[in-house]
Amino acid sequence: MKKVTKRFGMEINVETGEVTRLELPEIEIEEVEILEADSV
Amino acid sequence: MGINVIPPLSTSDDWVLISSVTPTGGASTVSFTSISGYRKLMFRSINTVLGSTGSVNLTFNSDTGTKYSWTSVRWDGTILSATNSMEFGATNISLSSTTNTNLGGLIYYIDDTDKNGIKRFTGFGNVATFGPSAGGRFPSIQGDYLASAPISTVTLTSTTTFTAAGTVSLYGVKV
Repeated sequence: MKKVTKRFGMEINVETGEVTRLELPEIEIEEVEILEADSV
Repeated sequence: MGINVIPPLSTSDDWVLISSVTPTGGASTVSFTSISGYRKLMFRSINTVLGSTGSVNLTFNSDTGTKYSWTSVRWDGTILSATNSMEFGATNISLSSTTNTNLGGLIYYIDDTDKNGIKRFTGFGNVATFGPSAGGRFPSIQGDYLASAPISTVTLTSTTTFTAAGTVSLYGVKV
């Protein structure tokens, strides 16, 4: 099942110390079921 | 008359802290920007935690071109894995597998960051917890980035989101 997710980033300007929120492109992610691996 | 001897310039590395933050809860990326004046950088992500299982990767200068190559030793949780990792021309430096939330410690060194050309990097880390799928932890990695400019941005990206935990830091050796 696909889900559209809004994302944001954290940006730190090391020169000024300013921390800003950066809007990132929305992405479509596939929700997957994580299965137990077979023993190696 | 005595001769004044000028001592040679030190070539040892004096690492200084550039910036250190705890990720904002819900953020997908943590970026250090406007970096300049450092010939080496050290990136550290210590005890950061993802909100849901996912992986993290590192990129430089917001560059997601096929410019990152490396070899890494993988750990299956008990022993060094027979399945090691080698990438040529990847779009980022993959730092962990897709089944982790606790990222443990990830420490990366990048050389020649004030120069235009290719940058070598080396790193080590230990992801603290294991997901259902064995393998994929990268305790040791080395490679290079086909740069064409000095490093001005270092970005840690997750495929999910960070929680407000742990510390992401940048250290450097001044030019």
